[in-house]
Amino acid sequence: MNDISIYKLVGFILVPFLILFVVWGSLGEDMDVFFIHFINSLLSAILITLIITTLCSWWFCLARSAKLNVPIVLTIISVLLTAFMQKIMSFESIQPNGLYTPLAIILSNSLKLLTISLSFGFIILIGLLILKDTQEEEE
Amino acid sequence: MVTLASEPGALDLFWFPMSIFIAGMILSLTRNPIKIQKMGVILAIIGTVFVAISPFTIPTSPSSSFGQLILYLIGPTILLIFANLISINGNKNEYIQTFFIILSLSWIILIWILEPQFNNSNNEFWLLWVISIQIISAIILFSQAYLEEKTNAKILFFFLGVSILLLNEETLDIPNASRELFIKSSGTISGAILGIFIGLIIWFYTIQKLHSLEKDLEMDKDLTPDEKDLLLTKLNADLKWLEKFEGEKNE
Repeated sequence: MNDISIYKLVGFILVPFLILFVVWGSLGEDMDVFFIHFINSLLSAILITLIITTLCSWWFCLARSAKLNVPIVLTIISVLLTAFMQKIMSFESIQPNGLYTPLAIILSNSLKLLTISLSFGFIILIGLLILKDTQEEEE
Repeated sequence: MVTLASEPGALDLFWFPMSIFIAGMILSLTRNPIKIQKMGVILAIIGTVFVAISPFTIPTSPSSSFGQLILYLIGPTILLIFANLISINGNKNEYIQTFFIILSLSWIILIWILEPQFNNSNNEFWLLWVISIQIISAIILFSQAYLEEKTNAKILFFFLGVSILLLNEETLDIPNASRELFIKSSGTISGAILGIFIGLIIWFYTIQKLHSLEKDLEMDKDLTPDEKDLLLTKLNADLKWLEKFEGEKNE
């Protein structure tokens, strides 16, 4: 297959989801919840990724004698982002149901990220089994 | 620690074991010495056990619903890992492997039918896990449909993906089907993927920018005899460490 395009692939994957959402939206389903969860998850994922990378940078700085400027800059960015998130997540319009403080939202979202990672891991375990069987059949 | 002295809560019985699990995983994945790797695995197992029993130790905490999810998933995951290990080890016993796979998937379907409850409502992490599985499977099937060359296979993969998505259509009377839940979970998953991507770009850009500000490296002049001695001593010490490490690894 010569004409593989990443844009076409992304479009091909997203179109069924979009059609489903448009149909459900026209049937009266509330689509605002998508954006509320999207924003919360987006900000939390950025913060969690930056915290992990900052910790890794400190690790390399303290244990492997890497330069000090990278962890310091990453720490400053993380702190600024945390303050920004505190502000953003205090708006009621983007707070998920039942969660009222930014810390509760971040902790809940971190568990949701872990849950998504677990489902991804489970798919990989099943995928490995399918791949091995397919390879053996081809051999 | 104050909470430890008074009455254990979510901090001591959930988040502390969770941090132990993360620390254990970091140790086992990043450290070279075998003993530290083993210690990391043991820490990760201890953390997982404490998180998994959190529905019994702190039944009122909302975080414990994640512990309940872990408790439900430990069995099927271990069976799937065993099934993978059997095929990796070469001495392939197909009957045992198939038995493990069927048992694992039946276990998951049974949990799905029974609808796990936590504090008198559906466990939200379990529901998110199920929908994540459906969405990731659908994405893989749509990718296969795009990349496949045979038309029949394309159509088959595409309809499999669509039918997985339609498991959430309420009018089809499928257990646990909820449009709202699917919409919420899609938002969470797409936000998480994009967030991780943006976080990595910020990290990568910061490192690149800081390195570009550094002055170019200059070549050293010839080493003095003292510096040569020091260099040789260091290299010998490194070689001895490497030999010792290889010896430990072979043991």
